[in-house]
Amino acid sequence: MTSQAELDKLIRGDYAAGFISAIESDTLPPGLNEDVIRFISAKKGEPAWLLDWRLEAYKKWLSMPLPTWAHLDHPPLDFDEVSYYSAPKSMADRPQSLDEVDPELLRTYEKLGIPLHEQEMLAGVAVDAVFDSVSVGTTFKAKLLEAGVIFCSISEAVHEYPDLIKPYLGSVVPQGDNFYAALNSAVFSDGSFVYIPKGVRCPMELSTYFRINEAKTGQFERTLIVADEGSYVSYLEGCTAPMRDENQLHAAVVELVALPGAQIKYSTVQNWYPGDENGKGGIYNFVTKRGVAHDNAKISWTQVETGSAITWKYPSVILRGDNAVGEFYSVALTRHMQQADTGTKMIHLGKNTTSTIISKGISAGRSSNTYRGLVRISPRAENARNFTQCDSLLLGDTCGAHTFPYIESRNPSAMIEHEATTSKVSDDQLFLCRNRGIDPEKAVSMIVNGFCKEVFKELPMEFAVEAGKLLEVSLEGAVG
Amino acid sequence: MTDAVTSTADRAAARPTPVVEPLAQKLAAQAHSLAEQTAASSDALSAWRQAALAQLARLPFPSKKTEQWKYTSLMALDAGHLVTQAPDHANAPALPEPLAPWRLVLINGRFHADLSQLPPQGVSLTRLDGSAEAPLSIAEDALRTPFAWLNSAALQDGLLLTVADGVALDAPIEVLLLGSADVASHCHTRLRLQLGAGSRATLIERYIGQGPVLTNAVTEITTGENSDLVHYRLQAEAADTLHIGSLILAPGRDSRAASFQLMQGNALRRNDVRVLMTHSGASASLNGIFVGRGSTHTDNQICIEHRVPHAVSDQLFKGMAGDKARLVFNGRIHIFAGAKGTNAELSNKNLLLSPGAEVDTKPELEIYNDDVKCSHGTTCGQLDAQALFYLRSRGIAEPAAKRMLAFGFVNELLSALPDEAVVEWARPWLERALTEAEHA
Amino acid sequence: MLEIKDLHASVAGQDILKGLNLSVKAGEVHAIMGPNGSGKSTLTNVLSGRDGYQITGGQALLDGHDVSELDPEQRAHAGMFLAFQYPVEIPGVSNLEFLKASLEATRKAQGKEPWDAVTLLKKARETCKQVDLDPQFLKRGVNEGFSGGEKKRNEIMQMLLLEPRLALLDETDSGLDIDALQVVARGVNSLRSPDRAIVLVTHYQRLLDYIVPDHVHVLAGGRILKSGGKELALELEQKGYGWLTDQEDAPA
Repeated sequence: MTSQAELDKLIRGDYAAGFISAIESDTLPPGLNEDVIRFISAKKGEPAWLLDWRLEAYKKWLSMPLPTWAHLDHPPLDFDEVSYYSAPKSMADRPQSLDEVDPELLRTYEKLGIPLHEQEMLAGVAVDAVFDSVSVGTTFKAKLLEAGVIFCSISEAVHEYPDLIKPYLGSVVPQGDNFYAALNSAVFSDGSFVYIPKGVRCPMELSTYFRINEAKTGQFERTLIVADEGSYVSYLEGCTAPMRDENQLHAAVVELVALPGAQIKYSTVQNWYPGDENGKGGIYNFVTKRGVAHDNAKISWTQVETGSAITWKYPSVILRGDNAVGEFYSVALTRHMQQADTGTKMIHLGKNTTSTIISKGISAGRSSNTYRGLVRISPRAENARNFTQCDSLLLGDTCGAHTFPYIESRNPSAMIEHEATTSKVSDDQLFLCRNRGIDPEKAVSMIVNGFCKEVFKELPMEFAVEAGKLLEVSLEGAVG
Repeated sequence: MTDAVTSTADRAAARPTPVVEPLAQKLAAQAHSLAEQTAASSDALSAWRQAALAQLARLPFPSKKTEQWKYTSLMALDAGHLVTQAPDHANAPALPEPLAPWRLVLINGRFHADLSQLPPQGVSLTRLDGSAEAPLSIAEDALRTPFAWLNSAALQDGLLLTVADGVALDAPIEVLLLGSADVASHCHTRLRLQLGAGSRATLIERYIGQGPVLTNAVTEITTGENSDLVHYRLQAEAADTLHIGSLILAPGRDSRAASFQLMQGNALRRNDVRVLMTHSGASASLNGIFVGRGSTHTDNQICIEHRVPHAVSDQLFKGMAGDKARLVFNGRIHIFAGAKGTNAELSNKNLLLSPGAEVDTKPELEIYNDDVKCSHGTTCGQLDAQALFYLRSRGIAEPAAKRMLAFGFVNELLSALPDEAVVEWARPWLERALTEAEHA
Repeated sequence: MLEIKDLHASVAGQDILKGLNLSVKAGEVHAIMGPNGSGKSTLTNVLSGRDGYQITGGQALLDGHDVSELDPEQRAHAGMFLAFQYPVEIPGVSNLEFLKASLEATRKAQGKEPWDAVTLLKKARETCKQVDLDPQFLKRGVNEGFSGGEKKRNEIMQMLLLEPRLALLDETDSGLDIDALQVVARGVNSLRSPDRAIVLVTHYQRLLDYIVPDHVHVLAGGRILKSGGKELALELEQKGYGWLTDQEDAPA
């Protein structure tokens, strides 16, 4: 067998998280208008200010053109074919504890390897699970509250902590920021909210798992994390979806606020259904993630992305305060017909701000993998520093790997360095491995893991293991 | 919520009428009327001009929303540059010392044989003034900007140089392009160089001039099998001039092409360089020094297209922006599917010399083949403070010390220039440009 | 020539020099010794006007003029020369080009006759030989890819050409083998004359075997703790710095 044929086999792997759960749900018929928004808001018993905020976002969205600058090719999206709200039926009256949660739902999460029952939890990780549009349960809540940490669904936070939500919601990603963020602001269904009080180091990793189950639904979660002065939190996010022939829309917004001296580490392992070999089905992932780092604060984005038919995502850091630090570590693997246009924005406003970007793109099959990044140094950002390393690994000659870094410097004392390389898993490398008795599957996985090492080492332990496995599954064709 | 209006209808109703860019529209109208006048005249180039006119009609003028023009505004053309043609100088202005034994002089786009020293045997010169038919563009789609199509559609004069197979020139040919006017106006300059198989030649394009004149330049170069080309593009016009140029270079099989672009900023400088690697075994080397001074604008868009296997390209560009100058650089390496064995590198290094200056750079890789070796790197920073202090502690005043360091920054490029005459021109030019870069 | 009065200086907001007094007369060679972190390099950097070194009190006078009012190049023109502890690499700028610019500016400011290219090259070559440096180094970038010893000899070469009235040598001896040390010392000694002064900043007594100082000062905690003749250096060699700094710390 030629090494090309072996590569082909390796990258044809199936999707392990693609089962569909038989759960009755409350799903809104497709289509979007003001009434849908009123319905969502009423369903969640929201205060009037929030409904007004949503309607304002909707108005902005209506006037915005669909962005076309990304290196993506997809049929026009019909926003009237999407259902904007789906909740598991048994959730209609919000379970008061996990014992009240539909057992089928819990089994779904167990299948995904995310047990929600606390006794089964991996020690030290608190989980908020979002199923279709709503949060189904948050674990370890009580223990976190002891430390003063608030970790709950954002719907709950709207009721319980309006004083924390009101000033921060939309403060990082305004309603009209971009097309998808405006859509999310109008119809967001749920998501997670985290508040870490002054000087507190969050006692455990916080984690959210997202799953889209219902057909033809869009998922529009919204995450808000506020780390008060001098605090620290590490937050993990995981995503899966069933295999369906039609495309599903995911348009999330994540806002991070790191107040002076605070640190937020945000890690994502994204494994939405990527569609099949011929590009049928899969999630359209249009996500806006952004953080603001105040004086001496630090925000780190780490992501391992293997899923979605289309990824449009640029986790960014606004380095507002002096000495703020922004980091972006990313592995994006695309195969089949997947298309990813992803990267980051580092906006240097404060003095002595530093940012680091390490991006590793792996393309296989007939996929297209694009890094798009912006490093902007404002005139005030004395002594700002940026280092960017973008590497692409191509497996096969039918895929594409692209790099589009925008660098804008308006301060002479700033130092910016950008490097990009492209390489492939060569026949020689594979031959050497085989010559040393290593089978080609293992060899490719080794080479790819080596390629991603700099990013994996930034992930929290359990996620690093998961990310490694995910890449292996994506590459090796193991059936779930 | 049954009779609710759908969002699509809502969106259609709520969407404001598309924002028209008045300037882009205005320029398009001016370009059209200009091109139509010229295209109407009947001569040997009529059909070709008509075809270009059709292309011009198809291609919209760039606006703020156009990605490739993100950092460059055409506001500077608002004064009617496209309406008035720069005068055809009857009296020869003083010309600088030639850089080569053969020099062809174009003044405001018009060739002046009386001021020129014609090239030697083995090089044929055809005037593109409609008196004879001439093979014109390299390829139908070689030109990418409306300005280049306008140049074609409104073409009245230009030069085609053909170096015969096997001819090896031992000295460069210089084309001096002078643009000069007292009022907002334009001229089109057109150059085409064809190198025959196994030939060797050096072309120096030197642009000089002053006044509010827009030079809309198009240069196309094709080289034959196993040929050697050295090409210089020296853009040393005064700060009040405007220059929008296209360079298309298509190296032949197993040929070697080296291009050096040295330029200083002016009121508006935009260069679209396109290198078509359409023959295996070809190698192209692109180098440049860009100096931004005063409140000038310099935008270089370089695109190298590897369309066939086993071609090699390397690029090194160094930019320095002083005062309130802005330098824009976009360097794209595009590897087509099937272009295996490609080796392509790009390096862009920039210095910001003063607090008001700005550098916007975007190296791009677009790759559709795994059997390639590609890389790009870019840096942006300032002069090393340690080195500056070291020089000052040896008695060298700060401005001179800065210039020395700036020279050091570009020295690897300067010392790599293959022609001594150009080096001798370049050093004082750079000294002057850097001096101008210092002052507000 | 050099009069330092109650000099206070800070680096990045941290006080390093805390009331330093020193008087250097023409014809003298002074050695300033002291433990690491005592402020030796700060002193030379403050005197030559490096960015980031702030004079917070007192003054340093060169021929009666306050040096803080002079730019680094003006100090050089006034005859001050600093041999760097870590000579800076300047890729792309050749040694010769650099010397030419430096000598032109300095000689012009000092009202001396400028050297033409031939004279400069001749002098530079001779001086290279004097410090055992291959004249080929003149064509290379300033200190670019030079070894540690070559960089230090390059500093001495520059010093000999510039003929400063006040030479400050900042740990020029550190990292040198004995042969290179002798070369450096020879260079410095050849500069000794009644109208020049030399300040050697060093951590080791070794250099003073070859350049015999008229005065030795011990710098610690940002002040001169003790001054004496050349015998003080030998005493330091035997006893180390401890006996001095302990005395200083005792009352605290």
